[in-house]
Amino acid sequence: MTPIAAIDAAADRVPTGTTPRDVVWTRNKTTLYRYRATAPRAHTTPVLLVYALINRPYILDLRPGNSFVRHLLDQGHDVYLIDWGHYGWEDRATTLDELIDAHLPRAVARMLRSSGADHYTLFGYCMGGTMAAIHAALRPDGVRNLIALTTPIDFHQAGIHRVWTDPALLDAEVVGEAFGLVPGTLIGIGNKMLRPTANFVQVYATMAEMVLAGQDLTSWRAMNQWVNDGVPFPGAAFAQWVRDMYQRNLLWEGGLQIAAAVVDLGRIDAALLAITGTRDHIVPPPMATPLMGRVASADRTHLELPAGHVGLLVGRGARNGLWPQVSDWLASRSD
Amino acid sequence: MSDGGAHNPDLLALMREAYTRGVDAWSSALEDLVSSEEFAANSAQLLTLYAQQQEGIRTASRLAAESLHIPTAEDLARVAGLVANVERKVDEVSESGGAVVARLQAIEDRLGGLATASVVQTRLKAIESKVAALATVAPAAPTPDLDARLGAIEERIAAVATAPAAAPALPAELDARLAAIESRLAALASPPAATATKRTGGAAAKRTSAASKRTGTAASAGRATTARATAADES
Repeated sequence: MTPIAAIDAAADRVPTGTTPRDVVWTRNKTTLYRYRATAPRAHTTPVLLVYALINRPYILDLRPGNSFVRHLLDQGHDVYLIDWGHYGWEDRATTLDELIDAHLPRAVARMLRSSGADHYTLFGYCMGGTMAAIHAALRPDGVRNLIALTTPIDFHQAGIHRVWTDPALLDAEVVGEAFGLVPGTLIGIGNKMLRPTANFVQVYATMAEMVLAGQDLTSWRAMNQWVNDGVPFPGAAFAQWVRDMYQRNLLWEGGLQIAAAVVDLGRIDAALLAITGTRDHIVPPPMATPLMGRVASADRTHLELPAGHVGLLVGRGARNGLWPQVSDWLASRSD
Repeated sequence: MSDGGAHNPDLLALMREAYTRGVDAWSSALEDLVSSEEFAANSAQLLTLYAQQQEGIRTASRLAAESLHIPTAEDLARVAGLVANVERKVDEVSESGGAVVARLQAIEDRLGGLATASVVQTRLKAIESKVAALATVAPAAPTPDLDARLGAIEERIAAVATAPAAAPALPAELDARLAAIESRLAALASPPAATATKRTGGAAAKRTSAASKRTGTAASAGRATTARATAADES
């Protein structure tokens, strides 16, 4: 393939999230999937993957050979995923309360019914981890294990994001109301601006090097596709996320209310695995690590790996690092 | 004048070299810029203005569509919201139905348990009838050995029950030591009590008197207490 043809082909979508799965339950845009087993079931405790409202969840199942979902299935786990979906104008008033207090518990109930289990593992990634932790604090019964991957907890350790969301500078409610649906591209640009050279220049320099070297671009294309595949963020949920988390830090300092219930992370007593990346600039380790000291869990493990926010989960480093460590930790806690 | 290409620069290599040399400095400078408060203030203002501009465009579009009697985004969203509401209600009904099914299953399980209990009762009755049948059967002829042993046991029990309680013989040494202790106690019990020891002696006498009603072990404990009180007084 000539360089021009390769670059042209780079614009085509790459098949992602291809591991076969079935729909268990839907509610509005939220869908609960159950992945089809690839190996004999070795564990009775199902795993529920909770992703964020930013970007799409197929990063957990990016490509054959680069899929955390597939890895768990091959280890004999019963794997479910809650996909928050692609919001429309009618969802602009959707709040985190509705998702955490209505959608997530109902998804859990359906998962337990379909799996026949009475305990489950919650796996949350980034904002999904925050939502999972809040759910585990509000409804600790049945949560056997909580895995928090780069999960923001103490938002006053957010680094540059903390500067940008200064309440004296940014009125989140005005922005959320004005947009209605905050564009996914806008949030994507915001995350890319944390490392502007790497995200706007280096990534394409790398592509050029690969093209000139005649290397296959599929992996690069899949990752680039995901990075630029943002979804609209409901304005009400956006305002709540920025105001209550980044600006007031209510989850860590106390006072966060979800559906009129005060969230107390100290009610979490499930076995906890908190994972951070030393090169994570989106959720720096000081932002995620404090969860270890707040929960009531007797079984607590902190795993810190030399990787970035996304590199923790996908790529060769993840295959040899995070994936086996997570599945080993889960194996003794899933029967 | 061409020199055969020996000095033609490889532009790509030059660009790569320039980029590699400068990228770290550019990265550092840009990251410092975006993390500054000035950048945050400007970008927040820009974001707010952009959002308000989008809202203005949206409002103008809505008014234009309404004037032309064309469905607006709000109209479509309203219909979509109604559909989502219906779906939510169906989900609630489905969940309630699932709860009913679960309760029915629990009732069935309990009924199954009751059935099990009745089976157990039936078996118990069968066992009882068998035992009753055995009780009416004439006893088989007793085995001679067993009968003799039972008889010997019965005789021994009877002998023990009727014979007067005889104190077991004590070893000679133990008997002598007990006799010595008893004689010393008798000697202690008779001498006049001193003033300083009146109260303790009196208390000790009471204890000794109480102890004498107990068995030998308890009495010796009382006697030891008395000996200690006396020794304390003397010191």
